[in-house]
Amino acid sequence: MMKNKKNQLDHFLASVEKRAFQMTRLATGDADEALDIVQDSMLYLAKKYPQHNEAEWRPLFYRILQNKIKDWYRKKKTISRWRVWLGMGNNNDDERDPLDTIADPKGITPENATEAGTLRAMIYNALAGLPLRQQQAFLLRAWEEFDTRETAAIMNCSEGSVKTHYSRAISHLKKSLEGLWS
Amino acid sequence: MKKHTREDDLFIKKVKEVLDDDVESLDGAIRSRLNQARNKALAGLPDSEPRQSWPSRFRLPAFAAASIAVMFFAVVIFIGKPNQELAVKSVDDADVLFSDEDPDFYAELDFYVWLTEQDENAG
Repeated sequence: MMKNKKNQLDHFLASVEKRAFQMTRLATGDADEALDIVQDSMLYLAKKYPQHNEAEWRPLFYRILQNKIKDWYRKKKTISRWRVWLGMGNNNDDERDPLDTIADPKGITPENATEAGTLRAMIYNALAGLPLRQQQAFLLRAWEEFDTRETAAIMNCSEGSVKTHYSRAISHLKKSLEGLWS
Repeated sequence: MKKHTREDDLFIKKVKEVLDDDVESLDGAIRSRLNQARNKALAGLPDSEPRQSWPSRFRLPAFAAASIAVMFFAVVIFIGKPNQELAVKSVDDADVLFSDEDPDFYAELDFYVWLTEQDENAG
């Protein structure tokens, strides 16, 4: 691999890592887990697709990331089932509100923000409360601005499913945030 | 599926603004760990391409040409061999045709060979 290509990949990863982290933290509700997932996704992209160009890296990276988030969910669900089966109960501590881990540079904790009723905290609560597929569809379509076809490829589902998830996500979010603005 | 309304667009815009603001204001510890993760991902990649005597775009045609050459020589060796034998026979036939010897001589050639061998043994 040419040094130029390595620099390009470095530049690309630097351009997506923060958004990827934010997206993953919303999905997992845990900053450490999110960092691990983003790192695994970076490693996978660098190992498997270093020769691709920048235009291809973006959808590839997000597809890897979404798959890793789904894997994390499945693993978590399996562990949870085993805990119930072994009579250890379902550890509700694992189901933390994602807002608990969101850092605020101004020193305002998510709890404070929620108490203060800020729009930001409520938006995060609403996003974190979405079912995973709706959350993925919304963030990929609305935030990352992938079109329906690209989002379907990233989420490994049909374009029709993407449209349904996206539409339902908007309805849920609007309902959760009703009255905040109009 | 419902079509987006202007209200939806405003709503989406607001959500995006909030998400973008938070990305820009991620704390230093998270940024540092992301930086480390990126460096780790890139660490396994070589800085430069391993030296190759042939540029990659010439490798496939060169391999194809070499394969064709090998196949050609294989064909010449294995298929060409019976032809060579045939050519030798043809020379034998030509010798017979253009020889002054009686054709019966060639019909009894085995006998004469045996006779010569007997004479040599006796001598």
